[in-house]
Amino acid sequence: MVPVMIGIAAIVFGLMQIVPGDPAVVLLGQDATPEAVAQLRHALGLDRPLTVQFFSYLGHALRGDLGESIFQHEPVAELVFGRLPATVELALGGLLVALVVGLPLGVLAAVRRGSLFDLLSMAIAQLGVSVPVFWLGIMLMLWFAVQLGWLPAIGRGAPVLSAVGLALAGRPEVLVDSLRHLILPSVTLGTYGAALTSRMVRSSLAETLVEDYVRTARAKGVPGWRVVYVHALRNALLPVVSVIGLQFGTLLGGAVVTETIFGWPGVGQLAVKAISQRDLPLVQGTVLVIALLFSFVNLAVDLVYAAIHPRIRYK
Amino acid sequence: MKARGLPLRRVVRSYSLVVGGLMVLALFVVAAFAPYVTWAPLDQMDMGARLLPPGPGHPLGTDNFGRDMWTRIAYGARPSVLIAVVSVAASAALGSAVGLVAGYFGGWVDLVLMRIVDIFLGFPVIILALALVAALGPGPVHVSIALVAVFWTQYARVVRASALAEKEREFVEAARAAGAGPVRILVRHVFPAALGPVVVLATLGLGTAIVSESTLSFLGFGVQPPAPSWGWTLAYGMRYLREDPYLSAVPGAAIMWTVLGFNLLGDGLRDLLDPRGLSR
Repeated sequence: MVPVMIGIAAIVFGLMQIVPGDPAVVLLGQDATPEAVAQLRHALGLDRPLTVQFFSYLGHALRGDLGESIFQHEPVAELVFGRLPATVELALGGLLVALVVGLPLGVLAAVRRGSLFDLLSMAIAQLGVSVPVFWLGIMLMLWFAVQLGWLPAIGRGAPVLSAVGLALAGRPEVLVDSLRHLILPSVTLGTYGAALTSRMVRSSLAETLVEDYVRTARAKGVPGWRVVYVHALRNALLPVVSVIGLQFGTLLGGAVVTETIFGWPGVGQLAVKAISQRDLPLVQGTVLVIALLFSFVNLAVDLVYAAIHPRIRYK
Repeated sequence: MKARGLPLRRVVRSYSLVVGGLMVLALFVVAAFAPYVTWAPLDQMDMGARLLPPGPGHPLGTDNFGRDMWTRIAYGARPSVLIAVVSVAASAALGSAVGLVAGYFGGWVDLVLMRIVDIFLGFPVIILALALVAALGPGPVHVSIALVAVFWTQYARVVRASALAEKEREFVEAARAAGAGPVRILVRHVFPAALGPVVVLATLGLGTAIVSESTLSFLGFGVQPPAPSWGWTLAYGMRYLREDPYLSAVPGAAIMWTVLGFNLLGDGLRDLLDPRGLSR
């Protein structure tokens, strides 16, 4: 885990080394004297060996110092972490859509294997894994926001957590507004996951349903629904957990696009803006934070997997 | 026992293979023969015919400069397909080489190479591609490089798993005893076992590469205008969502057609070529 994280930091650091142009020249302009450039290079520490620069970068990063944004003149860490809650909220919304839609579809398809329902839901799932996130987002926006006017097209309401607090205090309209803003981006982001989950659940559950212990349960008179939901589904969900965990990366990547379309003020939108402005410290910071978040989630998924799977034990 | 080839009946029975294959074939034909399947010049503007919906003369409508959308879509297939094919081929070659070496030699070589794979897998796909394009600058070549950096790891893992299993087989030992060098053993005797999964992965990967390329173009970092590009046209169409939703809908449909085609073809090929499910 730790070597991988240092490796991630090294790649993020290395990325900025392949950027053409001398940062000192960029900061001072083309007409700067060589002496001024050399002086600034020394002041910025750019004349030190790369390894020294890297460990200095790593040391600062570990202390939460990711440098300063060139255009926004604010610490990168503050910018990134200020926007992280919005991205996490969106990602959780997407995950919720993926599970709420994907799980039941997969279970029903597996139970009624070969039926018209199975065929239809798997055809929809095939479309779901093939549809580009940005196109789905635009089409949903077109139908439900522009043409029907049911939901807001862009922006974010109050953070859901604080809106829940306000709703408990007797002001539910804030929460309703937050949720209305959250629906389209969450569906956009969650569709791929829902399709993938339903396919995984279907194939995994279909394999489990022909196992001996399932037949035994049926033979001793356990009701059909209980066999499926209690006996078979528990084992069938094991491989699904790891796939859902891996999906989180796709979810974070999709969040970049979804945030751009729906004007969602998260880290992804920040990253895209930083890249188009070539605000390199900010690019570095957003990429590093997203990658580390992704690694943490993967680790968490591994641990959950080990916890629910009796045959796997990490030493 | 008779060796089982690819009997035509099994191929035809797999509807996803046939449908996917036809969709991909249509795409390649349109991309290759774009000048022959369209009738309007690529950049011919007609300000009197701006933002037309699909209709006679313009089967997919026109864009904000009055250019024929079918022509833009047909030519737009070229950069998308080219970038996807080049980056997937390069990813498969690089990943396979790394996987073969790691699996065959084992030990610290394996450890170091797989750690590098883990580090690359530590980035969400689009994030790493975006970061690379941010560093290198936009454009088709840089997008291809970014996609290779993102996709080579899958091939490394699959080929390594296959090489680990194959290197213990008798025919590999026989080749070694006969004096074959490691390169020859790897290429001639170990790699063929991994070929099926690699072909399946590459087919599915073409779909993913098309989406990734158009995502980068959509965000403004891929193929640059005025070259026709699906992703960029789609992004541009967002500005005219109220007046002319077709401007966004049509390129998106083209991307989806392509991805769906490669996905169906890949799924069908998996049933056929990779019964062990390595590429899953």
